[in-house]
Amino acid sequence: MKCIGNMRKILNIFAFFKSTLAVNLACSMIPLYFGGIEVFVSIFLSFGFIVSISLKEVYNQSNYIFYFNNGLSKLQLWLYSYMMNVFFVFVISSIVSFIKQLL
Amino acid sequence: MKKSTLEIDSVQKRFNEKVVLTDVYLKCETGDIIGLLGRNGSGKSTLLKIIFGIQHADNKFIRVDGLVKNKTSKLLQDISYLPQDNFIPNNFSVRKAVSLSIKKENIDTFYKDEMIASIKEKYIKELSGGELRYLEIKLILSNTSKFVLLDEPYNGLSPVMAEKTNELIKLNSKNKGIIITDHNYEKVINVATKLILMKEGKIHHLKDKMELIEKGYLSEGML
Repeated sequence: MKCIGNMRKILNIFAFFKSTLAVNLACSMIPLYFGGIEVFVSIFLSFGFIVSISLKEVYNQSNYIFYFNNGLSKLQLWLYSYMMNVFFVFVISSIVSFIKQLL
Repeated sequence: MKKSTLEIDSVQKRFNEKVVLTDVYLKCETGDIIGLLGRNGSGKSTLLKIIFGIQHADNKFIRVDGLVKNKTSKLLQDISYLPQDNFIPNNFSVRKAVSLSIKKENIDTFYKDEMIASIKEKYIKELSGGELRYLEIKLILSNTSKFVLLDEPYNGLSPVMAEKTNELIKLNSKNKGIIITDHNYEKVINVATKLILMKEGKIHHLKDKMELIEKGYLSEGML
C-alpha cells in the first residue's frame, strides 16, 4: 500500500518536473545552437532550471498547494525534479553521442 | 478507528508592529468540525496558513498525536489545506488531478459523485468557478490526511452546492478533523460541532452560538 502511495508521489514529482521543462528548454535552446551539447547541458542544469523555478515562484505560487496537499514540500519538489533534469540530460547526451558515433 | 489530535499552541504573529495573533491555542480531534469565525482582518486565514506551514509565525507549536512537528514537510503528511484561491494547475485534466491526489482503490467511489462524474472528461481551465471549488474541496476531503483546513470553501458555490459541500464535510469528519472558516456564518454554524471566534488576535471558544452576538460578531436578529 505504501508502495502505491510512493508511486503517486513520484507521479506528482514528474508532473512538477514537466511543468518546468518548457521554460528550461526554451532557455537552453539558444546556447545549444551556439555552443553545442556541452553548453546546453550546463545551461539546462543551472540557469534554465533556476529561471523555470523563479517564474513558478512569481506566477504560479498557488499551484504548489496542489503538491503540498499530496504530501510534497517545496524542497522535495525542487530536489527531485532537479534529479529528473539530470536524468533527462543524461538520456539526451547519450542519444547525441550515439548518433555521433553512427555518423 | 484511531482518533487523532491536532494541537496548535502559543501561536504569535505580528505584521510590522501590529499584533495579528497572540497566544492562540486550538485543539482539533478526529470527528471535530471547528467553525472559525471572525471579522475581516481578524487573522483567520493567517492562522490556517501558519498551521499548514506556508506562513511564518513569530512563535508556534504544532503537535499531531502528541508529537511536535517543526518541519513543514512533516506537517504535509497529516494536514491538507484549501486556500481561498484555486490551487489545481490549469493545464491538468480533472482525471489527472484526481489520479495524483486520490488512492487508486478510492477513485471509482470518487467518481460516483454526480457532479464530479459530469466534469471528469474536462480540463481544469474549462471548469466554472463553482465546479472547480467543489472539485478542490472533494479532493482534499478524500485524500489521506488526518486534518483538513478549509479557507472560505463556500466561495463561488451556489446554495445547492454549498449544501452538498456541508454534507461532504459531515461525511468526511468521521475520519478527519476539520477546521473551517468562511464569511457565510450560517453555513459554518450549520456544519460545525464547535465554534471559535477570532477577535483582536485572540481566540474565544464559544459554548453557544448566541455568544456570537454577545461578543459583537453578529447583530441581534442575525441568528
